[in-house]
Amino acid sequence: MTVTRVVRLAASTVGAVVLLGVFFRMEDLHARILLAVWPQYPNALPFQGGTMWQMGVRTVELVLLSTLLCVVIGIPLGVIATRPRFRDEWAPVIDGLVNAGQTIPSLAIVALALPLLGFGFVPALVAMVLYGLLPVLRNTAVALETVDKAQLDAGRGMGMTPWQLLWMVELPHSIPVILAGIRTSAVLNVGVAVIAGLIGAGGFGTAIVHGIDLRVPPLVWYGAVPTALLAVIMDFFLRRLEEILTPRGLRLRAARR
Amino acid sequence: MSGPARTAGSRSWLGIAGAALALVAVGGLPWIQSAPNPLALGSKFLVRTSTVSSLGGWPAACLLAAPAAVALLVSARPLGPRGGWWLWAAGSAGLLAVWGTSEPLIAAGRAQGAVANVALWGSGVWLSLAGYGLLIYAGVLNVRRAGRMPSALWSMLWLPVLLVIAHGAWLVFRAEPAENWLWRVFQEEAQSGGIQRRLREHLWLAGVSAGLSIVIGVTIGIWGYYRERVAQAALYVSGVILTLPSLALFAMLMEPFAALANAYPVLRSYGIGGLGAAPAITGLALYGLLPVIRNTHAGLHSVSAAQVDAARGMGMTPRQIMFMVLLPHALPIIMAGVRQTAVLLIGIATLAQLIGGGGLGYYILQGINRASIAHILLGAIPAVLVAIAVDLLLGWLARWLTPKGLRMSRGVSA
Repeated sequence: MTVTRVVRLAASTVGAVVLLGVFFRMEDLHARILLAVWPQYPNALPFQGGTMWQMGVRTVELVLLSTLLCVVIGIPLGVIATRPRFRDEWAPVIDGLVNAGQTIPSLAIVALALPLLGFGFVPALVAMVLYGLLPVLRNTAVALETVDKAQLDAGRGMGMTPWQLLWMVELPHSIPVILAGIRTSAVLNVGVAVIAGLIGAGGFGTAIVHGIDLRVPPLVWYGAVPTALLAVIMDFFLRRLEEILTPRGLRLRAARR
Repeated sequence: MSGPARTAGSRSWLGIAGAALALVAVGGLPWIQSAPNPLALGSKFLVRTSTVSSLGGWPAACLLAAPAAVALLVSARPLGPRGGWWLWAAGSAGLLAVWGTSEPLIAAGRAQGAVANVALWGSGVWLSLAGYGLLIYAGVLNVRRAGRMPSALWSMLWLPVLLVIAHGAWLVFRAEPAENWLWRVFQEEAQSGGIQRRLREHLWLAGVSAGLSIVIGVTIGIWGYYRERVAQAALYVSGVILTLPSLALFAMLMEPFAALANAYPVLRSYGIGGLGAAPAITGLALYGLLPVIRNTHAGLHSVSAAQVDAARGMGMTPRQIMFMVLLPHALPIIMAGVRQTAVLLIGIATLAQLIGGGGLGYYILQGINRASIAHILLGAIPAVLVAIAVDLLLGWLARWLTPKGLRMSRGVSA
């Protein structure tokens, strides 16, 4: 990794964090604007369920933790599933699981966590990990499957062990696709984190759900706008990350095409 | 899939996993959980759990575990040429046995006084069903791989699963109350017409919004074919929309519709307002745009320049080129996008009930309010089945609509 890449990485991380932090900290301004738009709800804000900062931190916690767990579980599973011993049987299973998983409503997964695991943060986290795991798993498996066979042969011809092939050829080649899967998963998880407000996970979902239940539009917007911003910034940041972390050799090839 | 072809002599790890899962589930996990009333299901102290052997004695346990044991023996050694059939048979037998004994076992437990009024499947039933399902899958896969079967018969291998679904439907619609609380809730709703109503609402929500997405998306895609800048802008905007959390988007759309209905009260007589189907359908239609636009764009650009040139050389007008050459060629790819949109929207439409839009989400939200698995599944299972059915139907439709000349020349991929 070159110095420029480290600097760019640090710059985009700091940028994303500062932008979100400043936005979440300006809750008085948000409250004033929303109350000016809806003067008929003077008592709607400040929200009793928590400040924007608290809700923001909770939502970010949920999303980051669940995405991290998805990565920690999904990538090794994807690697195992594509090893020669398992590949023929497990690749179709992953395909099937991903296809089936898409048909299950995210609301249903969050809802099922309630009777099975109870109310609060951890059940919501489990539901989010289950839902977000599939994109990471699928993209890891697909990326590893589509590594050029000639390059694997070249590596083998150089005397690489299977581990070295994995670390030095297969995984570096798969980085862009795996990162795209992580991005999909993270963005999905922001959506599920909002729904998880229904089972008491906290975060912006709480404000939105309360606002809908009590028919208080400023409260709805108080939760919805920062969530939308979080999702968009998350997506943007992870796209940058994909650009920055893609190995240079792959980027050159992509440019030449 | 590329890579070295699987030799007939290797082990089936999938079979081992499925068989082990089923064995553990039958052997040790709680089979039935019961409580004196539905509310008590949530309490650790009032719920009673029973295992297979406590309900039906060792014959029942042996019956349910035998297929898994056979499958374990078969898949532990390298799979022979008939190995796939063995796995399939064991999986099917196990699936049907678990399913078929589920109601009698609860009845037997009731007779002994071991099972209380409200009985639900425990984790054992779910995991053994999953294990035997995995075995069927492993069987189908290995039978296919052995390649000795006419392709029309492949789909017949899923027969046991269809049998289970059909029997489930029969259970739900018969008059006699079921032993399992899950089925009893399903029965109540199916026989009072509630589930049919919610299903209709759900199909209406998803259908109208998918229709809107398709019409708007294809139009923008065609426009974008002539103006690349339009295409890029549309792809960017619809991508951002898809990033937004669905519940946040729905919630934000409520207010504009409420304002609209306040400004033009006439709209209220059409059911348009801040609460209800209108903001939900709008939100869903916005959500479904990206797959359609992206695939229309990609599909139109996948047509070779030579073919467009040939059409132009024949004297076709731009409109003729679009409708007689470009669109028919792009159809398989556009249809793949339509399928994605349809499946996506059927899932998200469950959220519509939160803003008063109706649909299957009604039961899921009821389930959350009562902490009732039965109600959640009553909303979720039909939604999943509808999504799978719509996906299959659109797949057939796509194949049927694809021009004959294209069917041979390239495979359609999503």
